[in-house]
Amino acid sequence: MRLAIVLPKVDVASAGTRIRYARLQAAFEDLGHTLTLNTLDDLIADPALTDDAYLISKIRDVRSVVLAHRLRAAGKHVGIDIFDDYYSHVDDSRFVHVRTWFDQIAPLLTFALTSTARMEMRLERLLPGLPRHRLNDPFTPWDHDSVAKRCAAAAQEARHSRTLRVLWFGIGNNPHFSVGLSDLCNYGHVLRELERAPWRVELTVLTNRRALTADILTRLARIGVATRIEIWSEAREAELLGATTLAFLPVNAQRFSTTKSLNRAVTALTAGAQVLSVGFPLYADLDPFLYRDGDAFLADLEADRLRLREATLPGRDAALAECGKASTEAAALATFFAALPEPAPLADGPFAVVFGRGVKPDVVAAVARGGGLTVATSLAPGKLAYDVRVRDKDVVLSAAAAAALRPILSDAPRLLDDNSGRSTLALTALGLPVLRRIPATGPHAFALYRAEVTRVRAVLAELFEPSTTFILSEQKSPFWAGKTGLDDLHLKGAA
Amino acid sequence: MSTAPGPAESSGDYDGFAAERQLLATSSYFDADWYRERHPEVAASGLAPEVHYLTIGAAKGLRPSLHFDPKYYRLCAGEMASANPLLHYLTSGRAAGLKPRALFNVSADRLSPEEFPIIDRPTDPAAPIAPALPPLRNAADVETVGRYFSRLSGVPDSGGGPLSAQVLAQASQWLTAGSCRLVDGWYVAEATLRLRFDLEPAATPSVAASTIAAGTFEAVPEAPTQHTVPILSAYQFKPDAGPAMPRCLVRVGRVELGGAGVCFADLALTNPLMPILLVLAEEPIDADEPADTLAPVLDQAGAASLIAFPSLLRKGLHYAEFAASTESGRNIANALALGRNHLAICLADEEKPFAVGRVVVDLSTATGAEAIFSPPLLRWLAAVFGLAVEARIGDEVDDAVAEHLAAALSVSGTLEPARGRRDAAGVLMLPPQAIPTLAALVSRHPVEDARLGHYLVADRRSAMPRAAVSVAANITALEELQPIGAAPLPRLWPAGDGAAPLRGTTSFPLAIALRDPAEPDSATMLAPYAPDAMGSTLRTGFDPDAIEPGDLVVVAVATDQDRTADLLETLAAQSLGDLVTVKLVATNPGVTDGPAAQIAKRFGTRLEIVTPNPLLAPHGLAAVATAGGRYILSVHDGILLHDQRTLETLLTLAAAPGVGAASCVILHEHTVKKRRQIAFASGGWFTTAVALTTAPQLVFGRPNTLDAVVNATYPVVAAGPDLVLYKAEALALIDEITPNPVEAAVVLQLGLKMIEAGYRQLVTTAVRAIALDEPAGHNISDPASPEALPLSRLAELLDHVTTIREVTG
Repeated sequence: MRLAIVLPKVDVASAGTRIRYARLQAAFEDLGHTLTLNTLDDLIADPALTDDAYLISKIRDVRSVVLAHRLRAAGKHVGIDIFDDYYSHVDDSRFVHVRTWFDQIAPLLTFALTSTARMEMRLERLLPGLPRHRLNDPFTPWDHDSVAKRCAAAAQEARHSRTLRVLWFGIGNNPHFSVGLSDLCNYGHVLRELERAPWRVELTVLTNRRALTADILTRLARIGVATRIEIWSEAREAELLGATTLAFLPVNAQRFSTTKSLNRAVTALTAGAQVLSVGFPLYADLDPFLYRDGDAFLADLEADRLRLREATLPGRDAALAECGKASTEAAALATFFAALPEPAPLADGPFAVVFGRGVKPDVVAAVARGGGLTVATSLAPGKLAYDVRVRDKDVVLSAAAAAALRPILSDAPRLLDDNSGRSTLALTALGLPVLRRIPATGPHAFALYRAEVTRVRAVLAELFEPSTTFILSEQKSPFWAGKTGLDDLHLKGAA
Repeated sequence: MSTAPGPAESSGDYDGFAAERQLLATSSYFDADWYRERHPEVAASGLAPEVHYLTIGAAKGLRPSLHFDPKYYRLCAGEMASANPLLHYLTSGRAAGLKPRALFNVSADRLSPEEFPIIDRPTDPAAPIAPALPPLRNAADVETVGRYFSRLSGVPDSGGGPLSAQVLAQASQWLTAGSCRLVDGWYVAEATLRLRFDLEPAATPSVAASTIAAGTFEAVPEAPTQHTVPILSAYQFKPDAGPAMPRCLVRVGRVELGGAGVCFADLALTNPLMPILLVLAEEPIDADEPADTLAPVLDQAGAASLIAFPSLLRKGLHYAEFAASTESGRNIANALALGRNHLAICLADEEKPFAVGRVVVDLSTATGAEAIFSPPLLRWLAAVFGLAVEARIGDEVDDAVAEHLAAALSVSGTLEPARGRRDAAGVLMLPPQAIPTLAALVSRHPVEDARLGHYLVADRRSAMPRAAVSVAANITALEELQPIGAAPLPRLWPAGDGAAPLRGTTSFPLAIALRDPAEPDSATMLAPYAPDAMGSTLRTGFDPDAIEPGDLVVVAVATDQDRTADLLETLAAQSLGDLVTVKLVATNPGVTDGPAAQIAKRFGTRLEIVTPNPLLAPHGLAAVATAGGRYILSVHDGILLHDQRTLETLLTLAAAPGVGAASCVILHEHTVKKRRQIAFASGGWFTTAVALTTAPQLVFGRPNTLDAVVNATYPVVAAGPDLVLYKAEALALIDEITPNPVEAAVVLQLGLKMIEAGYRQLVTTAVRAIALDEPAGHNISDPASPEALPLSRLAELLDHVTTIREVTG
């Protein structure tokens, strides 16, 4: 089995990628398979496509749809790795583009991976019948003896100094949800209640810089325990986990939070840190080794019978093995792939991506490399070399677009720009009326987007063969084009 | 104060300053440690702090301590103090009555943290700077305060006769009226309450004149040359300290109140809501270990007072309630008085049942991180009010989440309701973002009908108030017109199954909604319901059989070709676009040509161009009134409808019994430098400020507190005029209105007429429209004139509409 992980350009070296895929790589290869990390840019124009299965990770835009289209046409397995649940919030206006992407790529998938049982259950609802597999994040191997010593030393130091060195670590913010440091602030009362004679709490917050807004800093100050803030790095996380008395992991019960992985708790436990998790019992699978109550933790600390200590490490090892031992995960993944039926071939054919609001230039470029025509609505980012730009009176076509016109239009008069190779075709030549110019910004962009997309569709229908697939791409809210799907070869949603 | 010089510091050849150095060393206005720490040049100079100050620092204007402000002193003292202001103060300025720093008059009406001195080391309260106050002692008053404290904290009463709120007030006078008076208090952290005392030294026992006259104080004689520094200690009962000690008394702070000036005490509260006992004594009270009884503390106390509900203080969870209760005088004395009022109701007349017997939280949008789930709040409700918070679980809540949230509401340990108050009382139902007000918790108004409740809005982060929302009393059937998924408004049900119909509102706020101050996303602002999740936006679904061709007429005022085309475009895209008849009121020649004409063709015969009648008021309402149809939408081409469900939503509202007109929230987008911001305007008019003590100065305008307008449908004085859907039979009342060239006046008068005739006008947040032009000025003076609305009818008007009043801290 040759498995290719497809990542956005910047993600190859990210912590998440290393934790999930790089740690799996060696174990997977030990079984005689290969696992490679690839960027989408590498693959989208690659005619070779030599792997058996392609796992698309964190590319929730039309590029992955284009790639998936090509891969299915080449008879490959295509899957997505789902970490966060942006899809079942069907009434949330902020995630229209994500749901649209999901609807576009879903028909092209032959499998899906998740990292938690709860997300797996959600996928059953979202993609019924699609083969899916839970791949736990593999943890790093640990040295039993040093972890045991570390547990004992940390407890001893705490009892001696009467100081609880509490660590909160991780990504502190999310652009859409109140998580991370917000949870820490909301559950700050737990830390205050730990601070009772003779105990003193010293909190260290290890997080990303972007999370440290004025609001959060104000709220952190109001928790009321001595607090120190540091900027996150992997090395510093390991160092602090090795020195902390207690890792504090609060979790709220919003839908987004309840499907998160066990990663942070696993990281803390494998480093030998005690864990206090409050709020939603996200880490219930690890309950025997972590605390849900500060009083219980203090009692155990005083009595030198902490849940994580040398005597309980074998049990911890067994529990963690269920949650992500690399060799176990690799074997299960290989078994899953071996059981997948051969993917049904999909017909290849011309496609065009219609760009709306908020699309980034590299997405446009990637689609062009992937062999699709790029079409600009008035709301698409300007000054990019689209293949088709529909204007109020005419249509500007690239050489590639002109070559793809319906044969009946091959003789239609066009103005040719010798420098750029582009040509301009008057709308009247298509029997279409002159369009109104719709402002690309401001309230008109919101209110008239649907009409704009409708007009563009009408023009495209006149320009290209009915066998052309149109995919709508938009990345910025608000959206009014509704859903589009590849199955019926037409833009949906526009009135 | 000063300390010995550090190892690297030199006193140098400065014997000539010996007297001055001695003066500084014995004065608390010179703090050597603080001075060294504050000004790095001191350590770098190698000089002892006092020497540095005498030779360099004073001339440079460096501050010698927290308590002395050289700039302020120079302003007061003038040129005489320019050389060395501190020495001047110590040698002559103090005797002359000059102040060492600006001491603001804290009895002023509006307090804000900016008015208080900057605290550099808040954990180091000012040390006594001079011996001062003799202690006071009144055993009976101390005992009374102690009993109130115990009872309110949930400790069973050991007897001793009825409690007297008047005695409590008198016993507490020393706290805010004596020579060591409490002048302010606020939460510097969630469970840290900072109290500020202003101290005035006195050679004789300092008591309020009234108490001397009443003979209620007994001054303990002291040697005339010797004074002891009274020590203030603060205590709380900590509920549920464990199985072995269900409650224990914990000292949460202590400070010596000596000398003159400002003194701060930081109280590390065991629970930020539980009552606080303040005790003044000559000697430190031996109560370092938690105790289960108050007796040892009271036995040693010279005076006692009670902060019954500390959460009323600034940045406390109930501060919004205090701020909303008064337009002026938001000082600590009034906050304490409000607390005593609540206390008196809470502890008096126990045979009369409380209004609230149960608190139920709707879990449908809960995350478990809201304030109502916090253990300190839950323990306080149980200990003080005998209340447990229950969960109402809807179908949309995940089972595991519901189980977790319901469990999170249970109070652990041995805590049990302290009183049997909840037998025949009402049910307070809250959205998860809200906490109950003190007024609701102590109220003994009988609950006979189910009522919606007024509520307050506060910032979740800082607990600072934002707005007070008074929900309309006349709200029959409004529930079914609320947006889908909207968090329920707080309400009070009589004991029972909660199925009784809602009748009116409570007379006091039921809850404080703690809102996250985060900027809303433009998507959720413009389209609160996702455009790809098409369906009804209101609980009552749209009934397509309720409308036939010709029923719905749109009267659109056209001023500009392109704008008219845009408006028609969005009308055509509406879900009811195929059913509308459009009457374009062309205000300019040619406005319906060009692009507008192209789009108008889509309507075919359903579009008619109307020329405005110059004999009538030059605005759309004249055409609206004669438009025909059962429902008439009045709109102009400065409005765009981007949500396809706008017309059907307004139609659902307008079709409801008793509704005369409906509108929606209107947003306007404008660019500020490189950012794009969305300004909010309501489609209806609220009273934003009402003065009832003078003439009825109603000020109509749009709510300027966005987050106070919850996702809801609410009645207004008048909907529109930018976008409003009228029911034709209600619109007929326009014939009874005095003609007025100002459209706003006509719309307002029509609104009042409708209310008089028994109609309501509604505005909903379920759908939103966009205004191309910036909304008109915020406050519109009442154009109807006082004669149109006599004072006697004001209360009736306010019963019919929702009012939003800004409340600032």
